[in-house]
Amino acid sequence: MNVYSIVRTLSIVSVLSGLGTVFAQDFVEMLRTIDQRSNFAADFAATFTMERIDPEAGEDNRTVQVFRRDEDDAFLLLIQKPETQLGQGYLRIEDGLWFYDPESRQFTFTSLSEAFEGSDARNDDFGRSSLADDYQIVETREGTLGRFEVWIIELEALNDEVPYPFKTLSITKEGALLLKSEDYSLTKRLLRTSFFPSYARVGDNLIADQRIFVDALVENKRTSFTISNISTTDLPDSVFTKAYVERVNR
Amino acid sequence: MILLTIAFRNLREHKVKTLIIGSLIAIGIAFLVVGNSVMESVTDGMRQSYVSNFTGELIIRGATEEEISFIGGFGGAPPPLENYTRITEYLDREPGIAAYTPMLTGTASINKDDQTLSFALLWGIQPSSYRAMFEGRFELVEGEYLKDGEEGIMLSKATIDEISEEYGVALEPGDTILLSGRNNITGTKIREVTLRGVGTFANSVGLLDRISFVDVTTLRSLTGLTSVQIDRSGQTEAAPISEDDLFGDSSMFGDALVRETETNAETLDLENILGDVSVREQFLSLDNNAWNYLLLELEDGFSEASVQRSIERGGLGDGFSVENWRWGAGFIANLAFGVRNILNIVILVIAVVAVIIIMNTLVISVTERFAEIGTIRAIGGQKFFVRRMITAEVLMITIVFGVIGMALGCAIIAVLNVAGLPASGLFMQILFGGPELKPLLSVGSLFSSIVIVAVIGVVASLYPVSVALGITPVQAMQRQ
Repeated sequence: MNVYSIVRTLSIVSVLSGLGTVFAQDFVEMLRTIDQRSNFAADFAATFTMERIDPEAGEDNRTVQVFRRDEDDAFLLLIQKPETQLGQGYLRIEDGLWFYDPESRQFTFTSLSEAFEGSDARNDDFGRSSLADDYQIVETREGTLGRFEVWIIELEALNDEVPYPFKTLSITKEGALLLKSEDYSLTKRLLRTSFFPSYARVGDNLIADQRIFVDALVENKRTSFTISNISTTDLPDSVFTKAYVERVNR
Repeated sequence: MILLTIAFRNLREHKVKTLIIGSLIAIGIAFLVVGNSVMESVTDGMRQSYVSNFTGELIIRGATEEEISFIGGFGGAPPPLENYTRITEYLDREPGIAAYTPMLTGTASINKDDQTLSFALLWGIQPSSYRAMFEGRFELVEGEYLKDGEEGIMLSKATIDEISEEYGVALEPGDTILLSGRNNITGTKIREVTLRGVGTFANSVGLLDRISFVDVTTLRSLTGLTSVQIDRSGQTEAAPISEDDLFGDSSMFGDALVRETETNAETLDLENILGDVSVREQFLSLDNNAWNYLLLELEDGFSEASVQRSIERGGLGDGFSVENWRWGAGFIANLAFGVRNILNIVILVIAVVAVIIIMNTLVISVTERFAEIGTIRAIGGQKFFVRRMITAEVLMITIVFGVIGMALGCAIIAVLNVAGLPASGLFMQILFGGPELKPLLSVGSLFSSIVIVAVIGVVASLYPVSVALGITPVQAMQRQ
């Protein structure tokens, strides 16, 4: 066996061992783990502070009280600031998402795919995570993101209810934390990049308490969310009703 | 007279060449007359339609550098007029202003029974002054006109028809619908309005078909025109963030990706989660003087440009701009004028080609008549005689066939006027302002035809004349 043969054999072994590492991973299970850790078995409440930076429209801030009941796929977002929008709410119940305007005391139907308050976040970003159910894995590879070794997983939507038909996720090899998501249109044009640089451990759950959504179509436009005042205390059923939204606005 | 006889004889002797050149001139002139007449009919019709139906002769709008659109669709609305009261006081005493009416524009989705039915281009108006200025332009099909101070909407018939076809929902006057719109000041707003009437503008197509009228209070609420305005302009842009800033060795969020978090053990005061909601009232009171536009109708004898200048120099500050109907019509007017300019370029190219062909043919003709011209010079013919002889020949051909071309163009326009030029597709309908165009003869195009014919004649004769003048009797005899 000459040197060339040794080098070739070692190369093949090296490549195969790399592939072996990839194949050894159960990526569907990885997505399911991310979903499970993000979704709360109990009720969840927190304050979301939004900061939108738009080179055209200027800076815009919101403070939003969020209530979630992932078991029913329900959530309620109540805007606390600015005062001009105090009490406006988004109520997700059963299969519908309703917007409430306290000034006219009217609800209208809206969509999970729509941008939240003109920001780079979609209404869908506030609900439960369902990556494993909504997407199938198309391709996986290894990579790095900053100082982290990551799996890069390309996903394709299994239904047309999700806001983005294609996604490319960057998930840490250690701990399987979702750090980055590139969200694409049907024509595979990058629409936004979402970053999750910080997580808060809440019991068995891990929730991204820093979320940055960067618009891929408008330069330097982005929206950041900081999550605080997290509570997992049980909420009464009445919170996830139109009557509650109307009542707190009186 | 002798010159014309010689010119006529020469043209008759070269019948084929004369016919080729003449046909080219006649077709070019006919094209010019027809093309300019059609385009003038398009732009005149467009002006007439926009001025009398939608824009008035002048539009005063809030000043902004952002892209805005009067009709709606692309671009937003301008900011409200800062000195609305001062401007209207000025207009009341300014000569040449026959009438004016204020207006707001916006967009909203139309909802009913938990369904989003359609999308509306909304014009918020002061019904009395609007109707006085645009009397009968929005023809009611059902219901009644909005009244001053009354809440309600007059929906366009195209919108009603679309809702009926797509959702099977038959909206009728007296029904209530929800309008939902988003703005940067008060976020998403919902307003319930009563359908007062259904109507349509005559010959409106495209976006114009979708214009609906709504009471101004509703539109001020939907567009966030509150007394307290938040100025977000001029705020500093944040520096871009990189992946290294977030996930690098010196991440802005620290070394640890996961932090232990203490959950909020305090019981949330769910019934008082919003605090004192009465504070929002002071932020939501509407600005009753907020208008995006003032539409002006001028008295006869006053030009748009002079009144525009007069308003701009009226000492009313710089928070507004004065525009004409073309600005109001937006891209569609620019398109029509662009097509007209392209047509003129094509005509110019045809004219240049005609000049070159006529010039070449005449040079050949002059060369063939070397002996004749030499003989004329030998028996005492002066240079100016030869020059006039050639020029007369060229002018005869251009004038005769130019007139034939004009007659042909007039005949074509007459036929098109009777038969109508059908608009194929929405784009042409928008351009024609309706399903067909009945073009009128453009007097301007006849004048420009005469000028072009004269210019072609004179320019085309220059080189042949110089060739002819270069012939000496000696050269002519040597050739012979």
